[in-house]
Order: sequence, then structure tokens, then C-alpha cells
Amino acid sequence: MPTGDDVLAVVAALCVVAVALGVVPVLTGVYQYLLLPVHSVRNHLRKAQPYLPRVAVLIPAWNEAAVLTSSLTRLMDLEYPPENLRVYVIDDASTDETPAVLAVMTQKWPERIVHLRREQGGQGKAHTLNHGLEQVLADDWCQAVMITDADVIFLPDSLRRMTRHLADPRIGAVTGYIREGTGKPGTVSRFVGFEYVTAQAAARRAQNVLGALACLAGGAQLHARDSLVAVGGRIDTSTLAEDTFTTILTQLNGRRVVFEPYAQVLAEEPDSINALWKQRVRWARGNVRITAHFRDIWFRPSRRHRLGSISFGLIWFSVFLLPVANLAATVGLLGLYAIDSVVALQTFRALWWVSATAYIFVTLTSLLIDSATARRSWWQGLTFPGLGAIVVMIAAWFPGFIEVTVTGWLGLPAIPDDATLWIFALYAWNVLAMGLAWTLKGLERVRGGRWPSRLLLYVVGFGPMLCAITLDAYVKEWRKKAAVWDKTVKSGRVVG
Amino acid sequence: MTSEHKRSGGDDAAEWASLTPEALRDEIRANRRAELRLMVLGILAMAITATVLVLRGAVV
Repeated sequence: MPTGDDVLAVVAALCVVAVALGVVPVLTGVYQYLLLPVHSVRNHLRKAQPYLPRVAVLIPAWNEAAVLTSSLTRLMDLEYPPENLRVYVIDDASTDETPAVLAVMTQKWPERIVHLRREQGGQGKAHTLNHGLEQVLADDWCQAVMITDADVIFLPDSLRRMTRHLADPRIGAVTGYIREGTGKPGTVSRFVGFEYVTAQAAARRAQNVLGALACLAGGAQLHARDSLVAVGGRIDTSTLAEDTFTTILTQLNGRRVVFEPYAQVLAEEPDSINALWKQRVRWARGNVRITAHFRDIWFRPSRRHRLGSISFGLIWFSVFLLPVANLAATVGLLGLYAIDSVVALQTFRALWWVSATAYIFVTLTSLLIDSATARRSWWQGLTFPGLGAIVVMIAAWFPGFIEVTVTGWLGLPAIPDDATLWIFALYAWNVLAMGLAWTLKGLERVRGGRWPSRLLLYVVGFGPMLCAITLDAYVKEWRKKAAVWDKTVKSGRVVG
Repeated sequence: MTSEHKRSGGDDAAEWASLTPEALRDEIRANRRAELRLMVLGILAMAITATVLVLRGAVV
């Protein structure tokens, strides 16, 4: 018959396991960064060859008059054989000046820009792209299809740096490095700029090493024609993350997908919390559906593809289940505190010791590998986990520093060792930050709330806000809320 | 071509833009060399992180 002490010991052990779950995404992030040096010797560039196929560029456009002139002009200026490049703008029944802009552009480049007009639109990006795919795959002119967005600005050398990988017939698709390129970026855009260093320049290089890519960036995805045809020649319309769906299908079909870090394109990213929230909920809901749709591939190694590897599964689920991991760590710490405050303190320090080490390593590497973004977004990089999390890290690394030394500097009484509220704030910060992130949307909407919302964003952190958005996506999926394609409004602020 | 692009590639970028097979092969070789820089940066970041950990150990 188990005693009360036995039960407590089991509960305490479960709490430690819950905290350990919270460490998994952190370690997975570090693992990806440790693979970066490996990419310097293990990348697909050694198999790339000069190759300039006939490329059809597809641009879905709904009310994109503000950005099309700039992006189309840059496509026409690409350092690429003009006779091998055609751009198809699929106008999804725009109601703004898009048709007029396209009339001017098609007159200027009659053989190279094609205006495809849908009279009945509003079904979403995937449907719009499929309309374009039907056209470009109807004859045998194109050898590769580039899917991009209306606001994306291609740097002159970007396309040829992608096509060179298609010289290897094992490669089914290539993605470029999308950088935040707004002329005068605001706080949110700067955070996105830094996020893209971690999520693309770093994470996708690591995925190149592992031989499995999670997602072709929606704004720069180049498909070999035969690969695209082999997966149906159409874009999936059942999820809100059609680019990820195609990425996975391509790899399941036995073709590799690679990230080319030197093919850089610039995009305008949301600079308001509400616009970003809307965009990322759409992405996260798409990922929920994709995780369920491809449930048979995770953690099941295959000779045909690397999506089923343990490493890739850990990377995928570390992002997908990050809110769950944070919640588990908090519940575990608070549970331990209720059982044994000394063990709780030791576990808390261990958890945040790992987090602080990861923060230093990841932030430093990110700032080093993309110096241009580092110059624009170094402060957002340093504060990415939030000032609150940095305070927690300091409290874990230097016991007594904040409680005694800092309060002393401020002329405040020292925080006692058993101050319950302080301990609760430290142990539950991950979840508190996600809760505070939910208030950011509302705060930004109120009159005069924009500036305070930015200040609170620095306290909460961009990372925890993304985590809260993922949680919101779970809730919306669970409640089966209508999956609507909400376009992210672009204003043409990209300069390159 | 943007000013940033000119700066990053210099004369090489102009040569690569000629799109001749040799120029494109040279661009691939240059990008491979640039990628080797990651090895240095990654190790540098690891060394700095390790130094911080050692210093932190010395402080506490």
C-alpha cells in the first residue's frame, strides 16, 4: 500500500518530467544552431551547376496596385535570360487599380508579363495559384515554376542562384531567403526581421543538413516542373498553409527540397500586432491541419525521404507544441514548489540556466550570420525572448542579485526568499508572458495604445507572443472556427 | 542592381551577371567559400558562450 510520501514522490517526479518537457524545444533550437557550421561543408552548392531553365513566375494578386509596379519592374531587371522568364500575375478579381497597373506593365513588357484575370475571386491564395498553374502547365514552355507574392522584391542575382540547384534532378524545389525589407521598419517589422534570421538563415540551413525542409517560403519557392506535376500540378486548397503542404508532398514523392541562403528576396512584413496576429494564426492553423494530415510520417524513418527522422520530428514538434511545453514547465515548477520548495528552486535554476545559455548562443550566432539584419534589428534580437524573461534568467543565474542588490540600488526593501508573489512570477513567467501577449492586440487597438503596446511587447517578448498566437490557433481549430483567407495588406514600403 | 548588391559582389557580381557558364561556376565557388565563414562564426559563438559560462561560474 503506497504511503502519502510515496504518492508525493511520484507527483514530484512527474513535475520534474513536465519541466524537462519545457527544456526540449530549447535544446532542439540549440541543436539546429550547432548544425550551422556543418552546413559550411555539407550543403547542396557542391552539386549545383549553371542552369538557366525557362521559368514561369506566378504572382497571385488581389488589390495589389500599391506594390506591383515595383515588384514587376524588379523581376524584369533580374540578371536572367529575358527569353527564359515569363511572369503571370493572377488577378483575383481585384477591385482596386491592379488591372490598370497591369495594363501599363503588360504594354511595357508585352511578351514577358501576362495578366490572368479571374472574374470571380475571393477563394484564397491556393485557388488563385491553381488558376495560374492551369495556364502555365497547359503547354510545355516552362521548365520550372516560381511561386511568389506581389510585394516580394527579388534581388538581381536571386533567381539564377535558385535555378542552379535544379540542375541536380534529385532536387524537386528550392526556396530562397526572405528578408524583411521595409524602408523604415517599425518595432514589429524589426522583430520579424530578426525572427527570419532564426527561422530561415539558421533553421533552414540546419534542415538542409538534415535533408528535410519544413517549408518552402511562400514568397520564393521554385519548383521543377516535373516535380510539381508529379504531386498533382495543383496547390492544396484544404489548409491555410499551402506552401508547407506542397513542400511535404514534394519530399514524400522522393525529391529533395533545399534552402539557398544566397538567393535573397525582400518582403514587406506586418508592422502592427493585429496584422501579424492574423497572419500567424493563419499559418499556425495551417500547420495544425498539416500535422494531422501527415500524421503517418512523423518519427517514422523512411528510405524515400527524411521527414520521418527523429531530428526532423523533434524540430517540427518543438515549434508545433511550444505552448504545451511552456505550460508543462510552469505546471511542473509550481507543482514542485507546492511539494518541496528547495527542489523547485533547484529545478527552476536548471531550467533557466539552460534557457540563458541557449539565449546567449542563439542570439549571438543569429547576429553574426546576418550582419545586415543585425544592424537593423540588434535590439529586437537582444529582447526577442522579452525583458521579463531576461529578468527571470538573471534571477536564476545570479541568485540574490535582483532580490537584494538591484532592490538596494533602487532604495527598495530586499525581496525575501519566501516572497510567494515573486516566486510565482518567476516560475510561471512563460505562461504569464503568453497571457500578457493576448492583451497586446486589444491595447494596440485602443486610442493612444500603439506606443504602450510596443513597450509591453518588449517586456513580453516577440517569441512568447508567437507562442500565444500558436495557442490561439489551437483554440480556433478546436472550436472549428471558419478558416478564412485573410490577406495581409501590403503598402509598398520595401526598398532594396 | 542595388547599391547593396554592388557592394556585396563588387566586380565579381558584374562578371557573374554575364551569365556565362564559367561566370556562374565562379559564383557557385564564391558562395561555397562564403559558406565556410559559418564554420568560423559558429565556433566563435560557441567560444563566447562558453566564456560567459566560465565567467558566470567564477562570479557565483
